[in-house]
Amino acid sequence: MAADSMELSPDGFTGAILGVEGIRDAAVLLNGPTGCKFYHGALSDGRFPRDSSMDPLQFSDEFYFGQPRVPATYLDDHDYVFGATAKLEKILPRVAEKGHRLIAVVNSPGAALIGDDLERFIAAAGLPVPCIAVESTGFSSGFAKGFQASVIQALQRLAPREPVPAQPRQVNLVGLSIFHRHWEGDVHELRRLLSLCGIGVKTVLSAGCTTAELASAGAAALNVTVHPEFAGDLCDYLGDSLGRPVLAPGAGAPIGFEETERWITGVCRSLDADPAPALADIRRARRRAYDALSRFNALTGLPKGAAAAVRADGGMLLPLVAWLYRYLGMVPAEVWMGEHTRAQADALEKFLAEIGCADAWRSRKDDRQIDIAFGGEDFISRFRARGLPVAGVDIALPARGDIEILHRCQVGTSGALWLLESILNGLMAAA
Amino acid sequence: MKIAVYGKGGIGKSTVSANLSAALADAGRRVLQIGCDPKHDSTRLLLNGRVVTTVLDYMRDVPPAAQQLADLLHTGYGGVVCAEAGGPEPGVGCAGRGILSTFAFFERLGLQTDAFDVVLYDVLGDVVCGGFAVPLRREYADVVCVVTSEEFMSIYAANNILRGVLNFDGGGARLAGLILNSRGRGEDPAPVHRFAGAVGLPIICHIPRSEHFRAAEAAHRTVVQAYPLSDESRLFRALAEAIGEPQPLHPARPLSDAALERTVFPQTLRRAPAAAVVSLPADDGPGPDPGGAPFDQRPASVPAASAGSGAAGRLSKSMLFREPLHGCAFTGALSTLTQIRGAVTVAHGPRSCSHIAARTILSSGIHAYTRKGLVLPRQLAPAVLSSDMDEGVVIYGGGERLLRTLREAMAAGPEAVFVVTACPSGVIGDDPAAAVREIRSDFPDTPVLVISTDGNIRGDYMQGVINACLEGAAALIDPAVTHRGRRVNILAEKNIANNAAANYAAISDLLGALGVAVNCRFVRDVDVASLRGFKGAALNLLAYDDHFGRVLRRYFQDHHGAVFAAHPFPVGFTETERWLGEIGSFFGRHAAARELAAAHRGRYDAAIQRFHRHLEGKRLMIVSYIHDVDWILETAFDLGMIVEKVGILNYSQDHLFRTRFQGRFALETDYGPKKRDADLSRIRPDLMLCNYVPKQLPVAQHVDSIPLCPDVGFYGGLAYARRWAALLKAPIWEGWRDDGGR
Repeated sequence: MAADSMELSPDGFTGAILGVEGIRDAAVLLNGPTGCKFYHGALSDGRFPRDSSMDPLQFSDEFYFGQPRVPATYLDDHDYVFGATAKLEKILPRVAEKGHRLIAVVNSPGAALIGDDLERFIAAAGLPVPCIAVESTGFSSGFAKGFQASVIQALQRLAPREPVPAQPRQVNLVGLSIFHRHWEGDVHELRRLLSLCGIGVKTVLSAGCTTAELASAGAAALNVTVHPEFAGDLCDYLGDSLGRPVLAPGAGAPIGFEETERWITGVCRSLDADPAPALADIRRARRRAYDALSRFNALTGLPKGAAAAVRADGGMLLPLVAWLYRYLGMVPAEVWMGEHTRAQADALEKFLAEIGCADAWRSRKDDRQIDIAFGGEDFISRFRARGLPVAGVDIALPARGDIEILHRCQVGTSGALWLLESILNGLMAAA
Repeated sequence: MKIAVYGKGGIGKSTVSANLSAALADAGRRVLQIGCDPKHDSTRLLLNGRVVTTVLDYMRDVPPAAQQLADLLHTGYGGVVCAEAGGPEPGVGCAGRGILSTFAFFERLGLQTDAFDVVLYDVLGDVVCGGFAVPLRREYADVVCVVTSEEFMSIYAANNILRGVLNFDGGGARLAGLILNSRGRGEDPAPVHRFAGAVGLPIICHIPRSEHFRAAEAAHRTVVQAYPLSDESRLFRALAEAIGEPQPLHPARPLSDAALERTVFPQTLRRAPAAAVVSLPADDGPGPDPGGAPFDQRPASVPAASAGSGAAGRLSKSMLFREPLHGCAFTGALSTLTQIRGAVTVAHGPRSCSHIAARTILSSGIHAYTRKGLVLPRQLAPAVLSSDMDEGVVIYGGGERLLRTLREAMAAGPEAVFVVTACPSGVIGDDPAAAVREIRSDFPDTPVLVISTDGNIRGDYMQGVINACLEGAAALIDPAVTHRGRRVNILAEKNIANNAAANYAAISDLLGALGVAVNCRFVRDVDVASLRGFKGAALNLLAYDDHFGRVLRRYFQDHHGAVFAAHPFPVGFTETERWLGEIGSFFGRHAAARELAAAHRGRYDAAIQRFHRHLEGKRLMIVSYIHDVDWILETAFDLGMIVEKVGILNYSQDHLFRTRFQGRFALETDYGPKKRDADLSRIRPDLMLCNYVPKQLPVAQHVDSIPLCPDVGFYGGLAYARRWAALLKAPIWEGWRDDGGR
């Protein structure tokens, strides 16, 4: 797994924390300093709120530092020298009494070097809650790698390896994290499309699922990838250990109408289900999109010819860039890939060459005209910092920071409409 | 001279070190011996068996403000000043990290090693990890001696030590040679001689097994003290004399493992090359009665710069009071240094560390853009390069990776480069100074500055901010610049405050009305040239008079004779009027200041009158993290409100509550939610103000939030009057609050 232009992007440490924090009734206990705790505590609470207060005084217990999520041993210089024994012995029961169904003790990068024996502390604590120890999340390894590793550890602890009867037309959605921009809406949308075809979702690994759902993951008839680069190791585990088949439909995540059609059709074919209701849903959405596009295009000529800069993870990037080009006539001007596999990078490079946009691949030119940028606000902001008045569609974190109550999504039919709405409004505002 | 004595544990390395120090002291040298071994007995014989507090225990047990060098430096035989680093129990923590902490601690407290003729580091050499290799760094040891016995494992450790030296020195020469400390009469010294020959080092001293060592140790003395006329003592004196004089030094040429085995266990013995050996006759029985001259046990000759207060004066509040650290110095330093235009900061650590710091920086930049349409380039695209430390770097050291990243940074042609390090770099003991030395030789015109961070090992977020200011930005100041015109510097703005840009604009307007220009913002949105010209301002203005502001003021007063305005950025009418008056007086612009305040007085009074009738007599309670709430109090009092209670919470950025309204309200510091709830039930105020609106209170209550960083200027407090008047008309319990159960 590689990433380019990602020097300030998260790595496996954040991935491991969010893998577990994405499980509704699980909690990460961080053996690390508050410098690592505050960010991840805020991130987890912001992405997946499980408490309705932000008042620090309400979470003023030792180890919580005013946040409801990711309690930490607040390592300091002395702990690096002498170890964090006393704190670890104290924090484990304190976190356990909060009623979580799984606790993952995760070492920060610094803590991983001093070799506190987490398993020993967990065993000695004798807690009634299942606990896992994530001794090292790697150093600068990929977010997706850390994410999958911690979810696999949770599966190993929770899901029995004995064969269980498969439940027909039940799938697991694999490779979705709470770090994905609109994860909650995405889960909702994929459930909706699948249910139109009579297919249920057993569990989502790991965004919003419960420990009970994880424990029964082996009962799903099929494991379907959503973002392939977040799913490879997980699928290997689910296939090898739990004996369930894996399907990676299409070229990546179901982004845009065509890719969504491929994704749902692939799943239905594997389960001998009828995709027609979902395809009809997509056709209706395309009609709505047509009405909006035809009017917008009549007035502005856009979005055709609009220059797009895009940074996204591999599974999302190719479907998105292809959709922007083929469906909307937009021109990729600058394309960067986050977490990705070699195959994804090769496929995108080939596509860009085929459409005459090879120079957009991993190439930054300050004098290049960009009309609209897709990515996290960190990516979009780089254009603004250069004084370019680009429109921005925040398809990744960090987001703009708007308060979003209604579910948005990026995948499926509704995701295509949301993207379209964002593009047209963005271009209109920037025009 | 600084000598590092390395050797495998348990082979008499500390005995050799202590005797060498004693012999050097007898020769009239002023000696400092620092034991760098977790078993902390390096100096025991010099101290007549006295067990002393180790540096690491002291750091843990004594608050920083009370820490003094004199507590850790103990004078022993012959005036040798002794210190012990100490370390953790076996099997836990990281002893090497402890050595790093000890050296950093001595630096912070201002240990002047130059006050000694000889500084001797006695270092465990079993594992030459980054921590135990610290004394090998150039600035610590000029000369390295390696103690070995005849056993293979001891020679193996000696060879490892040479590898460590090679890593630090490249082809440089710093090794004096081997000291062979025989473990028994029957031991064969030939393997050591063969090893010495193979690595090209002399055996500068061969100490035979002697009963004198056991007897002296039983009397808690060195042989040099206990048996001054013995052959062993003569030998140590000879060694001291040799080592104290200019001598040939040798480069490290360690052997491969296979070559080492071939050398130590040859199939056929080969003749060892000649090496300079001082040898002794065999042990000839007990020497004279151990007596020697009594020595002064008082820590007499402790070097002058041991004051704890000076070093403590640069500590953040959390560090000073030994509180749990809030955030890390790495992020604090990055948040500050990325405000310097034209500079690049190299973040040496895993990508997660740069990511976390970048998100902190970006959050206020994104907020400014999406909420206010402000483009703050340094907070939207911070100039940071991460070295992306990986597993290999963590194990094998990060010097090369750092150097590569520094070269990448230099390719952009920056005006200055800063280096900050994350926890893993600190734990493994990377030496960024070595990489910086190399890059400086290639780019001599570009300042490259290392900021003390090591993640949170050097402190919390605010400590990183302070270190970035004092070790980074302040290092660029040109001392030759002199005052010119009506110019001020602005210090201690909060870069993560969402209203920092708006507050600066408001302050600039006020200063502009007085004809005063801003010379340099220390450190926010500032270029390198402005930092160089820092001394071009006659007056310095603090944005906040909190702990950070006070640290900066003290530093600039002490180091640059800087003149500061008495008050920080003003909030509310009285403060703004007073602040303008002070600055107006300083620059001879009294009239302009008076006119400006007068122009706003009418507007302020009218606004107060407008809300007075709604709020007069209303009872207020304030619970706040910030320690200066006069801006709220003034507004409340001007509106005729009654302030029943002010509760001040523990805050990572300040500890001194201050008010000009003393006696007009009940005050309690060290406040908390339990006290708050009790007070609310008792007082039943009309309105409670907090930095965060709490969810669960014992009584239904009107509550509003107040910012941690208020808006400056005449109307900073007044802006809330309109809101309070409206809020008190609202229902005390809104319907949505019933839906909180999940």
